[in-house]
Amino acid sequence: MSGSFLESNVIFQEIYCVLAGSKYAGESCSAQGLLPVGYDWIGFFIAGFAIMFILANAFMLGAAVFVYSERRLLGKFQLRTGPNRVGPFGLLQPIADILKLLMKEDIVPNGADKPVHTLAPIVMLAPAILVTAVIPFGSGYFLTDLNVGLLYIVAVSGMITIAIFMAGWSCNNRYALFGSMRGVAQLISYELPMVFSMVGILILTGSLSLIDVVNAQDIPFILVQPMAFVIFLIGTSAELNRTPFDIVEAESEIIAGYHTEYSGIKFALFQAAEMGSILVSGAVVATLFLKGWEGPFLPGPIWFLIKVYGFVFLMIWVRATLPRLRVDQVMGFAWKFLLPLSLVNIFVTGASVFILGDMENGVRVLDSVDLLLVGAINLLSLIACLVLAGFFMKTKASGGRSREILVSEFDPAGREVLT
Amino acid sequence: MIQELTFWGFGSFVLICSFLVIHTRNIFRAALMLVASFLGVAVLFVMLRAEFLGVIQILVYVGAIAILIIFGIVMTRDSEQGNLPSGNTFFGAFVGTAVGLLIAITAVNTTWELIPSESVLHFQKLANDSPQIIGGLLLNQFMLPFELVSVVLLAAIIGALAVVRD
Repeated sequence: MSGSFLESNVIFQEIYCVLAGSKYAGESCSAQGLLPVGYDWIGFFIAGFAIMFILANAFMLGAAVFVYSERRLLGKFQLRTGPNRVGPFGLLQPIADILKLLMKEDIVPNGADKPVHTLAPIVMLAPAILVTAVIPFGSGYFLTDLNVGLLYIVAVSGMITIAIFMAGWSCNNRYALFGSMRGVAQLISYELPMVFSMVGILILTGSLSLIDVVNAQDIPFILVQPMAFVIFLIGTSAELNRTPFDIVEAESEIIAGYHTEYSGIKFALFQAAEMGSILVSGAVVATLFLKGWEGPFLPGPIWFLIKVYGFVFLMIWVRATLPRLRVDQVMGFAWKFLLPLSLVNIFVTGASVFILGDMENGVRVLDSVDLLLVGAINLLSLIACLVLAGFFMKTKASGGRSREILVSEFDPAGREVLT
Repeated sequence: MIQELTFWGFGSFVLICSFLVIHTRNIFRAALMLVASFLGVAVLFVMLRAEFLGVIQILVYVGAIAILIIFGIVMTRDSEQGNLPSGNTFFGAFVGTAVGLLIAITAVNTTWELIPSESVLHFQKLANDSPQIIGGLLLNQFMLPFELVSVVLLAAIIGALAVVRD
């Protein structure tokens, strides 16, 4: 592997400096290195593992912070206090929760496929942590800069689907199986529009590397690609199984979905993966649409955290506001509305870049005015699509089919999933 | 040294997983073994500095095809009986051996061009730009095969819809 991205990695260089006494493939540092001469390669490994250690722990800590902030904020939204007994303002509540889960008995149900049952939470947690590897937290603050970073995120987070299915199938429980069937159907459906909404960004940046994506944003892409942002936001909240798309673990219909039979540390791993993925998705949204770490006055990583927690707050707000959708509504929305909309987005972005961009060295280049124009065209076509869709749905709703769907809502066996 | 260890490690991992796909009694576990062997192949791609192919391997095979296979298994009524033996053992063994021999003979007989040490940097740059290069080739030189593949996929989609509607 080429080590070129390591030279621009600030944290890696700092740790390597302390250990080896010189920068990786560069000039010497101020202090003498801790390692003897000729053992630089140990520094190479330790520096890499140190960043991984920081990332994995930041992920778990972030998940704990998310649990606390979600419970407190949901309390505020519902005009109650939320947890406030453990520690000041209830700040130690997540730690108490984790301790409780660790001390619970780990139950494997009768007739379960034990190895798969044990493996499922691990397969669920690993991809969520792996995604953090390519996300740049500040200028020079990252683990690695893959030339296929965007695709890497999509591919690795796609593994979660298999974990959900493993959990649902191995438990030998009907509710778990229903939950995981719903989950797989939903995740596959919403992955497509989500990936397609990234194509507009690809057209504008011409690179799959996330650092290039941030550097290419003279104007945050939320202004240039509003349609893609809307699709991506809906797609991620469906991928994260958040309300209004939480049919996977709808507690009033199928108890808790795929993790019905899990307890103790395994359940904790599922929760950590779920809560941490929300933060990771926030990081992806910040990188793709909100100009990553860049912002005035404050240092980069702090801006990045502000953007991530802005997304997290939005997610909690949505959860407190919207009711759950029905299964057929969720699937229909993905295939009949979001997917065509994302195709329209690709077409509109491509056409406007083709018309507005000036050829330079065989690449079409856009200045800020052009980018704003692209954004305006994108926004107008989004509004046009919404108006058109609203018109069609209105004419369809008067056709009398909606009554028929309402009946299946009361089918307790969730038969609509299987048909 | 590390490179060779990784190669042999993941190569044997892929082979063992593929063997277990056939020989596991539990059909759901067999499907999971298939996923594991796909992941191993992706690692081999990344080792060849074909990161794009490696990621596409995970995206398409693990993220889509494996899920479809698992769905197929769950929907099948015979899944309770486990991994049923096939009647075509002889024919399967013959075709498998033939294809394996063909690949092995081709791999041995090809004279592999090694990158001269002075142009390693150039090829590293090429590997970094591989997504762009692959995209350019697909939309210029290999436009017709690319479109043909998409027509095949379209036919598959229409066929699936026709089967469902019956």
